[in-house]
Amino acid sequence: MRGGRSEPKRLLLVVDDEQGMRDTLADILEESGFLIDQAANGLEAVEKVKTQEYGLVLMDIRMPVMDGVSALGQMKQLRPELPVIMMTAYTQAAEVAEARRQGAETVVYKPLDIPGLLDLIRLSMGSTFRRE
Amino acid sequence: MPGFSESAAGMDGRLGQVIRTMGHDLRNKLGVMRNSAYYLNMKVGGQGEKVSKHVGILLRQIDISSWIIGNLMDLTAPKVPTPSEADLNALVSDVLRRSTIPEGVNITRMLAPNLPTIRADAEQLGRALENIVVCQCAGLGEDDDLRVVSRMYGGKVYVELTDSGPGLSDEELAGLFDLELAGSFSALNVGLVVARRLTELNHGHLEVESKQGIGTRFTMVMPIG
Repeated sequence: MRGGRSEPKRLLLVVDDEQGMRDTLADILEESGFLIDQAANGLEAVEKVKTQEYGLVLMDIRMPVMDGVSALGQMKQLRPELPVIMMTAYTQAAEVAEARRQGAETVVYKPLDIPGLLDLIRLSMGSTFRRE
Repeated sequence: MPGFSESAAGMDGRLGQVIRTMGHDLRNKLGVMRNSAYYLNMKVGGQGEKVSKHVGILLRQIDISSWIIGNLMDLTAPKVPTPSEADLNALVSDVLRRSTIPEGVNITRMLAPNLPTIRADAEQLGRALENIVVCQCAGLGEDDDLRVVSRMYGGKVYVELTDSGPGLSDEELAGLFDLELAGSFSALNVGLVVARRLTELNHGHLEVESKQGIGTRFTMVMPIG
């Protein structure tokens, strides 16, 4: 983990089964002033949310072990106020609708529009984080 | 939907599934490449015109590849729309903002104020409009025009995209939305087939008029309510 308990509001959890996606997003987000923790599937992410306070979760929908929509539901039960942005490369409308119903802030499509994503992250985190 | 798209709708079986799965995986890889290129641009983009130029080329080619793969997946996967209140003016503005318009092309927007929202899948209609704009821009250059008009008439909302490009022959026009009729086709034709398909899935339709040497007009017609 590259974040820390002392600054939970700047700490983001990036969840994706593709390591390259996690690593590249982590580098970009760190460069943009955030601290990053990573998880490789929904189950791992839910376990982390149980013990660590995050400012926001950025999570893929399709993953092995536990998919993103199921993990989102569990995260919202644990921490209803936690903003979660879902990512997808191509998902059936029903999955996107379910993610929204479960309380996702929004669903973004890969390849990601990074400036747009950074705006969404800052907007979702509200006044708790401002770019340094 | 005539022609190839009907055949494509029949690809709901194993082949369609293979294309969708591989397309999904390819898009994931392109996503990683795009993030990497973006990061490099953050770190070294300011170190020279050529570095910026090449990162720009990389990003653009990744976006085009992703667009082609997305259309291939849409051609084989008849997705069920998720309707919500969609603002066509906002969709048009968003598409123009994120599209790569060739340098020197004049864009004119005449969007009707107070255009009513429609009940449709905004993401699908945005992709349909994007495909039309990409195809139109492919034929445009310095001092060409692209005029975008929205209006309401007779319980329907219209979005017209008119270009001053070279226009289409009768043969090209006949095969524009039908890959079986098209003598030869490219990723652009596939994009138009998908645009029409996504529009029709949302209970609208696409019209096209073209005259060689004058230009081409695409009209998206969507019912209100």
